[in-house]
Amino acid sequence: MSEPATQASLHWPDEGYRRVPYRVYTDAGVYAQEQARLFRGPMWHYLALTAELPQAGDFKTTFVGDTPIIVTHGLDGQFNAFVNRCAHRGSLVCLEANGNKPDGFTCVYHAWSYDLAGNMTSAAFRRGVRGQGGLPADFDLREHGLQRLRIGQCGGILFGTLSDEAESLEDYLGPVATRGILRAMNRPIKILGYDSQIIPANWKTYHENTRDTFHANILHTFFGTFGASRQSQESATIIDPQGRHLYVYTKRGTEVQSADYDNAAASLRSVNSDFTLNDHSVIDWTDEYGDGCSVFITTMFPNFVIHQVQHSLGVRQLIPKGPDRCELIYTYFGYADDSEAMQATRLAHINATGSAGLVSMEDGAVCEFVRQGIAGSGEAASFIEMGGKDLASGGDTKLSEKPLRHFWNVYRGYMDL
Amino acid sequence: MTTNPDSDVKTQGTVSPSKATGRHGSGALIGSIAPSAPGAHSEPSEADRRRVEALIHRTARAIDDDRLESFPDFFTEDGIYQVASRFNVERGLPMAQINCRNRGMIIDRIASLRHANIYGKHRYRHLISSIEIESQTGTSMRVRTSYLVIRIMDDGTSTIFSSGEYQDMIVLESGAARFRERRVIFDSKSIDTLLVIPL
Repeated sequence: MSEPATQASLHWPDEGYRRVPYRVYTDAGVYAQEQARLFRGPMWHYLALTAELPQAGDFKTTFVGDTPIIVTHGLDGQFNAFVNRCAHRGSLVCLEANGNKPDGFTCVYHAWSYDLAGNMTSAAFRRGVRGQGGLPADFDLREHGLQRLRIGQCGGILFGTLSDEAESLEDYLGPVATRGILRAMNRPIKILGYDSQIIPANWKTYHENTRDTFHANILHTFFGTFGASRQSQESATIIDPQGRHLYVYTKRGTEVQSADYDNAAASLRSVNSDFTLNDHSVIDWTDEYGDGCSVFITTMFPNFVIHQVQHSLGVRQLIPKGPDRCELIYTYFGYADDSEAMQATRLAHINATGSAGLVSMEDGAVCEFVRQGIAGSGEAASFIEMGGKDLASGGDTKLSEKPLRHFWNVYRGYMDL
Repeated sequence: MTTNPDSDVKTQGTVSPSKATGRHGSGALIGSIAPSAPGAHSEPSEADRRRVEALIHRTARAIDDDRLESFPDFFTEDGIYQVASRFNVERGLPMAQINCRNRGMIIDRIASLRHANIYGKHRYRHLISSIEIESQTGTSMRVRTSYLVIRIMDDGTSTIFSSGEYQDMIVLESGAARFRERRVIFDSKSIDTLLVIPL
């Protein structure tokens, strides 16, 4: 590790990854260690979609963990990412969410300037005035550029890492995340809009939720009621060999009758046959990928998701904002060749996802309920044994917490906890 | 038949799915925010102005009083209700957090929040100001209004949840004012926790 250890003190229960001490969601020391070992550590993080930066000079600002980042489309056609922190005294050098600045960035504080690759180009009063002031004679612009990230892309998604030790992006993604990304990013896309949801809970609570394939048909009533997604439909969870990434899919219209399901469903709040819709455009769905999947969600360690929920397509970037808060940014897209009717369908289906999503709003609520519930929990821990007690057990059924056991196994490895 | 409790006129009934088609095929209904040009106003009658203001105030009060079942009745059958961020609108992006293309979809939103969705119990208090009738064409008026919504959680926590602007097209049907379009443009880029009760 290039970072000195800021070792958090935490006793992990002897059962290992099938127990999670609640202090990992609340402890400031754990949070600081995550910033060093995960967000500035040897893994790859979502930065942007290349479709957001179509022209030379385009930029957007974002975050990797707590660290502010600028992503640019250089005049040479190359994409760049660097830390949004002036090499002089640490101010942000770019204050805007996005835009086009072919000339690069100038810090408002003392006018140190940088090009679109983060190279320093000039400093105000470098030579001083009338022989007074100015920078030392040996000052070399080349030594004072903005801190660059290594970047890479997969299917028009830009990822970056602050670590020199990270493996290649290709190796980091592996076959499972790559397949999930390229299935959605199979042709040019068009940005439809952004949604930002402030979730009053630790970031891992939300990340776990996206790996928790078991909760969907219990917590979320909306699709369950209308048969858009049920446990009795054909579905699977595929986890990569290292346990870092996974995709989960459900195929609508593949109901398999079983007494087990009927008995269990009868007791669930989420199966409520009295609830009917006036307008079905929120759930009308056709198989646009030819694989029968009505829901296909790929989750990457530590904080990225790309989803297809019916015809709603989006990437989700999770930005931690302290131990008890995070921001979830959805970037919705369609395909550049979508018909007007298909775009209207995607916009209608976005009613189901995001901060006001008829389905997904509940994830924001339940994360908050967890934060409230674990207050004052001392050394208590959660219990994660649905589908088995080890990493191998649990099969590929959605009724399993196997992806969560893998998450905590990987997390403990990177965190040395 | 449903009845608008704040109106003396009965609505045309709930929307059947076969009739529930938006008037704009693209669904891209949120327009750019253009400042109103001085002098472009046609002067609505005092009676029409009172109907418009009453509709806007009664809609807010119905939400604050938790009479959400009456909320769809403030819309015409083909009425549009959208909630979108200023961030998206200013960039010409068509996505809306809530995108109801007809009254049937508004009714479904209310049914969903009553019977399906899970969220921490809360209510709103609307403060409405600066109602401005920008133009009138026949019985249809373009109206802009500022709003502030305070969210009161069940534990007593009160926060400013949303500020923004209503961009309405209000029509007079048999003397009663209803929304043909209500576009809620919220100022903040972010939603705190979730958005379930209409703004």
